[in-house]
Amino acid sequence: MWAIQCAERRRARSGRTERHDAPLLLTRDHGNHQTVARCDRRALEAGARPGMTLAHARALIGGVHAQAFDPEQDTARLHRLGMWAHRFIPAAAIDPDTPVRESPAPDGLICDVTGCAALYGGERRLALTLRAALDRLGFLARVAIGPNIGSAWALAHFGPEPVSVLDGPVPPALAPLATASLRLDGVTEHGLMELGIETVGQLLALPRRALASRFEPELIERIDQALGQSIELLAPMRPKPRLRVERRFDGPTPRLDAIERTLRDLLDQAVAALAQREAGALVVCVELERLSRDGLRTEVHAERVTLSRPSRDAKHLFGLLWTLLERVHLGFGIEGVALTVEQRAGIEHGQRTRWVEHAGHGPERASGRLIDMLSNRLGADRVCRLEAAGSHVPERSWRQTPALRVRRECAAYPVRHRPPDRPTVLLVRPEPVRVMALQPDHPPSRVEWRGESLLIHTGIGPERVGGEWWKGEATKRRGDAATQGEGLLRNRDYYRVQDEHGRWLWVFRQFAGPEPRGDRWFIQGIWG
Amino acid sequence: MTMSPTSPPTPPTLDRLLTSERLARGAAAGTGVGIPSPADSVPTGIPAIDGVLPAGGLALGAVHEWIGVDRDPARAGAGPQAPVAVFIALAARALARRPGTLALWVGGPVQPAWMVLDGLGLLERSLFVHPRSDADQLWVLDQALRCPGVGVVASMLGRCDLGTTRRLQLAAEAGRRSGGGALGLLARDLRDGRALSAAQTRWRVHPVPAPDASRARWGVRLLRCKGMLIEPRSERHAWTLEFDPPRQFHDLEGDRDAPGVLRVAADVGDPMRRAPPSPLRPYRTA
Repeated sequence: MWAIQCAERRRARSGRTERHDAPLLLTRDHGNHQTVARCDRRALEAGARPGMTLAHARALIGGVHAQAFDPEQDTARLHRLGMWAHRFIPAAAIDPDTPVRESPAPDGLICDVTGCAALYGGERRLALTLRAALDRLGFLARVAIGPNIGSAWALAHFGPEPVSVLDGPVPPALAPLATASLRLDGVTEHGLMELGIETVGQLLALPRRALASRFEPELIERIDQALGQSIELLAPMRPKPRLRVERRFDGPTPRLDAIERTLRDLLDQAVAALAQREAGALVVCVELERLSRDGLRTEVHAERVTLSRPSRDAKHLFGLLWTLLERVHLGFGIEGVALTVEQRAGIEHGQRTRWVEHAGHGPERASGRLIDMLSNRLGADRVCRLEAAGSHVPERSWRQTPALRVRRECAAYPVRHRPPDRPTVLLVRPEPVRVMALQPDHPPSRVEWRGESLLIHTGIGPERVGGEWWKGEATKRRGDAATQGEGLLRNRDYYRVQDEHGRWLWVFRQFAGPEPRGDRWFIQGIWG
Repeated sequence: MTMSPTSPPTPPTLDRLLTSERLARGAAAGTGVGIPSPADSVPTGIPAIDGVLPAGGLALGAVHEWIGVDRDPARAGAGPQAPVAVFIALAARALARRPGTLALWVGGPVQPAWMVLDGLGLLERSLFVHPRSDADQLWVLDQALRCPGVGVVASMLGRCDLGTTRRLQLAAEAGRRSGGGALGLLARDLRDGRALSAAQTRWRVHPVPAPDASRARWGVRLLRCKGMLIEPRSERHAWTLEFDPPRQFHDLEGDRDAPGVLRVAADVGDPMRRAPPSPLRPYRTA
């Protein structure tokens, strides 16, 4: 059995990091200090290592960006990487023996490469290919191929080269490595250390019986596994079988009703299969195999729908798909229809009502269907929910998220205590206005907006809203020397003013400097 | 010649028919259309208005038009033209009435500020739809009004004919029959105010200048309501409303359904005196 071990130090590719172009560390809390869980390539080159404290890493690297480490996300990502690795090898598993001291979550893959080497022209070529592919994905990997899992693990973690292939006898290759490369637990490793045994070679020179009587049986087991004298099994990850149903016609048909009938049948089959798995579809793809223009080949036309919540309602799915398929050009005819459930999620069994089909459906379910329908026809970007964003500056305090991406229920929202009086309509971005203010700290008496001059009857204010001074140099208080901040960084004074027509406007003065001369006025919203 | 003590019953003239309450309610016509029961309506929270409306509130599963634009939108300073504050206040009532339902804000002109929705607890239940074209917008409105999971649909309708408004009204009624009942709120342009419409009620809404007020005020007039006679230019069907900020709403915790976000300005008296002490000082300009 051949094994390949890649222990990758992943580069967390977040948008922020790439923009700042700073070395990235992922940290986790460890009692009263933070330790580095993962570091990216630049941090690694600068000397950071997983397991060291964040303070140490900061001392080594200037301008490093630290972010909280999420073990679940990390493992999920490793799982995806394992699935990806199936393009090279037939079986992969997440490495269960992680050096816990360094890494809080698994960070390696064990792959079975039996019989694959010939396809790549040798084991070394395979290892190099794999490492290059991982490198393109942004992972800095160490790859080792050995005759068994134990030796490959040792070489991947402790070997001198990033890519090593072991094709000779095992003991000489492992001899110079540290004893930790045998996947020992902390106590055993410490015990060996006290005896002055630091390398595998020293360990293997000792009589086996002496080891067995002085240490846990695990040590003997690990040595046997590394030397290939004991069997170690791989628990490979298995790809979820895709749910796919298809039907082929006798010959090409240009008839829409035949396709409709077929699609309904396929949906019924798919829904029955989903019901067996207690799941519902999240992404459904329909492929029409269409005769090409010259009539010699077939081409595949695919339409895809995304749902806001898992569903196995054939009628609903058909409604979503059919609005898309109606518009497809059938050409010289369709030879086959295939339906694939590309993503699915668990769905609970519900009590069935006997008589009325829609009686048991709550309003949430109905609105979920509406969101699916609207999003798939208008485009996901056009059906949105609003979320609070992390800023108190009004035009940056919210963002729109496509409703399909928000996978949560209409939960009770924390009610703010005494929210301030705010306009009911916010302009997309503040629009500059010209004002006439009689006194410096008073509301304006006249506002000129969009070419119209409005006489102001009443004004209330000011309400000071501070700029986001922490984002750059900016004034904290008017009159400070540092007034180089731009736009959002500056302080604002908001006024509620009522114009001659009775409309209430939300205008603000943006301070420019110590002199009111350069201040600019904007309108932000309306009580409309 | 003696006068007969009883004069013969006068024949029903057209005038009488037109002012007959029975006919106005649709009972004489026997159609049964247009009179929602109080169970199918949501009170506006303003007793003066609820007392006038036949069902004690705005009918659910129906479309209500708000002719709101006071000025020509072609002119530059017109700003947003939908009475969004009124829509927000009514949406809060309708969503409280039907838990678990969504509010759909269709199109740019009716997009409310998130802070106000947040303050009323509506943000999580709001969905913002941006249709590409007028045809898309009508389709969205139609589908949303039919959906039992939707509580409120608000949008600004451009120029359209009787058939279009009838399509929307029928969609809303279909939604009510299938266990839903969305409150359709349509903002209309003043130019389209005279066009025929199949909406359940039509309102005229415009801002009211009030130099001594500290909050936005609207003049609201009921122009038309199915099943009810409206005297034109009568003061009985016109009110001045004030938009109460969320703080008032939340001070009355516990009795959440009772206080509205809108209230009749006359009831308030001088709002400055009643309002809780505000950190903001009022100023008067000359």
